[in-house]
Amino acid sequence: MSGILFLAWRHAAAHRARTSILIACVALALWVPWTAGALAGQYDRTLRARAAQTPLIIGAPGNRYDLTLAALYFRPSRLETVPYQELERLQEGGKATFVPLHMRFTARGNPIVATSIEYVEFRGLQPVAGRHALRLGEVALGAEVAEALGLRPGDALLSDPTELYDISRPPALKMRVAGVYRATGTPDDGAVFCDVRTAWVLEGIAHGHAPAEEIDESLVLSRAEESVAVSGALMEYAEVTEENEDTFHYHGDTALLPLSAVLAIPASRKDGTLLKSAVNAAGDLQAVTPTSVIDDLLGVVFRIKAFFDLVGGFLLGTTALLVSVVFLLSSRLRTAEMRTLDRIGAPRRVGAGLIGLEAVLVLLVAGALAGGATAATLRWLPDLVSTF
Amino acid sequence: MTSDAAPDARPAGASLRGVSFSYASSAGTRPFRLEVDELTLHAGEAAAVIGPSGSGKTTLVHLCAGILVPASGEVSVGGVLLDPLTDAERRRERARQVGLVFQEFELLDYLSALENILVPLRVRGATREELRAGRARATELAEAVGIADLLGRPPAQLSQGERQRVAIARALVTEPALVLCDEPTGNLDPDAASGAVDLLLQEARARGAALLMVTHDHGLLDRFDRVLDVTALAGSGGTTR
Repeated sequence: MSGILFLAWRHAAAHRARTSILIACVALALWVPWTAGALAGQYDRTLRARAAQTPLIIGAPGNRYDLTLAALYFRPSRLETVPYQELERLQEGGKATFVPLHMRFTARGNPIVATSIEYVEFRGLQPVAGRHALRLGEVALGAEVAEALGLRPGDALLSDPTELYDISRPPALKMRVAGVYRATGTPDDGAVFCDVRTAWVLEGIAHGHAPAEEIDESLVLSRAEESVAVSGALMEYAEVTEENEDTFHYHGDTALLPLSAVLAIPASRKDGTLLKSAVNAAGDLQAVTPTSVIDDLLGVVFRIKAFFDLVGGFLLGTTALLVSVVFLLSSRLRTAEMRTLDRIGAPRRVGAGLIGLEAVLVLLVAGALAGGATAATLRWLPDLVSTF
Repeated sequence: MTSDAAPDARPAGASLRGVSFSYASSAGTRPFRLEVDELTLHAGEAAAVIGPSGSGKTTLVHLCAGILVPASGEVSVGGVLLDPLTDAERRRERARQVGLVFQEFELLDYLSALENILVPLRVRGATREELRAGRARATELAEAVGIADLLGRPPAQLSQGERQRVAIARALVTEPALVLCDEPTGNLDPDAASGAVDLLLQEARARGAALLMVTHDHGLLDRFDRVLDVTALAGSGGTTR
């Protein structure tokens, strides 16, 4: 057998171009369904795992897929906001722990997740360096963000300006890195966490500037007993420091400050059911159970996958037939060689053995290549969940 | 009937006794039939087989090699009786005991000259030790037939004469009891043919192998110990000289 294997190997090696093309064809035909299957499996596991860990999401009425994907994976979306007073109203009900989420901004392309310390505790985020972002203008980085940007506690990170040519919008905010979280293998690794008050500074709802009594008189438009109107030329602080932190303040009703969503962590399943019913019955907000939303979503995804499986099956079948034709023609061309081996004293089915072993060699190499390519694809492909 | 006039004490390289072989020809022609009453080739003995086309020269070679199985009679090679063996056993015996040289040389184009010489060992599933010993013999044979510096080349990079020498080395590498040659000089010019036959005879004799060669070249016959006319193997043993 080893002699026949040697001959099969030497024949394959001697006809490098033909063998390489065959291997490439089979590897491609295997890589497509393998990768699709692995990605779908990974997608399924990742989505379900995150959803299963999150009992209830509350947000403004609208697309429940957008709300769920934004709250779980910080997927960029234009969610209607929820006024902060709704969070306070929910907290009064006392059926759950409510965690605010604000996700309208990015820093160097990474989502800024403005939340409270309860989120950090709920997700089990542990600082591997520094501490949580507790103060205004501070951020704590997910492991991937810190690695990608090369940031450590004490460094600074600028928020991305939302409207480059709109001077009425606040400029980028320079935020201090308070800590870096340990990698969790979840979307939290790719996020920048801060307190919700920092998000309101980013929104321009809160800002800091020189105290009214110290403002250059040339910038004062009018002074009343309780307020001062100043020119737009007055420079707002673009960084929160220990010295200027006390000057940051809100204008307008703080109860209306915007949130993207609220995570609800009920004390029991019953509390969760009652809360969901109550919120949905009231109608001004919607409460969704992430697992059911993800189940619906995956139902669509797996119907599409079934189609790709079918296409992959046809592709594999067609390739198998074409490879069979190549080996069949090869066996015809090698008739004289087989006759020689037969006469020299090779085993009876040496021809079939040689062709079969060569086919097995091609399949093994192609399978190894396809496996490697699938692993590389899974390793290097951008996170499909976050880009969905 | 015997092919030898006097008893020979040497061991038999091959012997056929009361062999009858036939197969049906195409419609309208007589069935082909070959009968050999007795034919013994002793170790180190060389015999040429002559006869018109279609008279059964190649069939005789194939019977001696165990490629064809006679309807009756006995064929033995190197003292091993082939008839009771299974097909697989006959093949193993052939790879071990018989060296074959073909008219077209029939080298494998994807192997080097050295790898071609070792093919009989490969196909019989030789062990690593057997292959190591075979490689040493192949190198020695290559030197003997003058292709020592060509062992790494594939057949496409060899001349006809060089390919013939590789084929001769391949036939002898297993140290067979019997070397069978089916018109091995048919594709060579007269000088090369003469040289190839001399080489074959010299190497077969040196290794104590019996040699049976089918040839149409009557100019070469005087170099053989015996000349067998295949049309006269039944009855007289076919020996013409």
